[in-house]
Amino acid sequence: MSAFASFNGERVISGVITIPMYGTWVADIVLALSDAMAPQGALVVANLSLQGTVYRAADFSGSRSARIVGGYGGWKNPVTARAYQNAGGVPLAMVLGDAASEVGEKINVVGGGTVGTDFVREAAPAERVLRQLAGPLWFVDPSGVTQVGAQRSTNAITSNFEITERSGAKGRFSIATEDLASWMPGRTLMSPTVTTTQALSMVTIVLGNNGTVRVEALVAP
Amino acid sequence: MSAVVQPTAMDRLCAAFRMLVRAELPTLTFLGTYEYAVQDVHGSVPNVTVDCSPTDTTIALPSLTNIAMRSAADGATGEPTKGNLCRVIFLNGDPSKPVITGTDSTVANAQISASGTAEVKAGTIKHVASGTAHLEGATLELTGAGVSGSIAANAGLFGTTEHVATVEAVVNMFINYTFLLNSMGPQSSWNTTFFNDPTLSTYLGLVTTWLTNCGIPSLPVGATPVGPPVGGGILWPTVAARITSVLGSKIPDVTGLIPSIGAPKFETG
Repeated sequence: MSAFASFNGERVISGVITIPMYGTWVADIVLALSDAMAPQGALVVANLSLQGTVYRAADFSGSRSARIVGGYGGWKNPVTARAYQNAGGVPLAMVLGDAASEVGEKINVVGGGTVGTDFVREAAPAERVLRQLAGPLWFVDPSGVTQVGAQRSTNAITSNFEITERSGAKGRFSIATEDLASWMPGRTLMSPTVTTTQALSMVTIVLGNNGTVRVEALVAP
Repeated sequence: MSAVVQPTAMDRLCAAFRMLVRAELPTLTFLGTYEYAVQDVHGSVPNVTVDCSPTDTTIALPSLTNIAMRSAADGATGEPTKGNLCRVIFLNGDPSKPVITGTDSTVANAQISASGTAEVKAGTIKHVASGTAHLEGATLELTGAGVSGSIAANAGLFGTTEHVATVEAVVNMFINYTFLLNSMGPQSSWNTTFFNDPTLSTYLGLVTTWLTNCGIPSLPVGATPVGPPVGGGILWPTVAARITSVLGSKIPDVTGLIPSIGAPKFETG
């Protein structure tokens, strides 16, 4: 049982947290809790804290399992049809900011610019507006803020870690570390046994019900 | 027909698959053509913008304002009226590029703009509306077999210096000129009969008759001879001024039947 993982203060027994390069992170966790859980909160694992929202949850035999998604759970909700027009250009940040605020999300648009003199927003899930304007290159950061136009950190991981397994065929590393916060997509690793820089593409944190934790990292390409 | 019916959330696999597809094609909605109703019109051709609302409220698109009018025909623009139906598309499937590509068959005003030549090739070209077909600042050229009938035009169409003189009109003038000469009698008597008169009234009366017979209704009013005959001869500057004045009046053939100087086969508009 994990004593260092919790969601909104409730202890997490086990779980899997998947953090992709783009999009939002997803966690399937089991809590030692049979009562209803808070709809939003921080998923904390060691020094890593992820702001998320419960997507689905149910209890069974004295424990509760839940799927947590990054952010505030709003992008799947619909926005109404709306037309923008500005002869000087419709700001990208305004269109995305409106969609985000209408569904309760938080967003940070880096750069921005305008989308043209018009923008027609269809009545659809808010995430469609996000994809129309940001394409696939957006991600939800650990604080729950959707980042558009921002770059993930590419800094090398300097904290202690141990590579317990490497699959060259799958481009996957199994890592033992206590510094989970450093293991984010985009970061790079090198070690005495890995002499070429490896950029992390997707990170999965596996919490075992025996109290173990490991990082499985896919590298690019 | 309304938009494509969405699957129910009960089918999780299908719903997930559709989400994947829509994630890859986020602008799918904007690849269609949508029927809107014109709510308001701004500007005039060729710079017209339109406020419009979707006729089908299930298409998930909003009402639009100040959307540019584009015709499906090259170079053509129209000025619709309130209540017209119009077609809205999005260039390149881009939600930031809505345009209107056409309206009902009848609009308030329409224009075809071309910096070069605009050609209409058809067996028959008809102007059947009760309004006005306006040709401005351009040359109207009718070619090919079967061109017949008349073109209604206002006086401005004749220009200020150009004239249309048909062969029939020239021949007609010469024929009538012989009658003029005949009425003037022997040339040896012209000095005493006509040109000693400082006002040339007798001579100009004959000229008036001649021009009238040529199809020109009357001499212009107000032309006054200046000075006495030079050396007993014709006061040429005065006559020349009269002719210039006659031609300058652009008198059309009002009957449409008599070839003449001016604008044969043209009717006053």
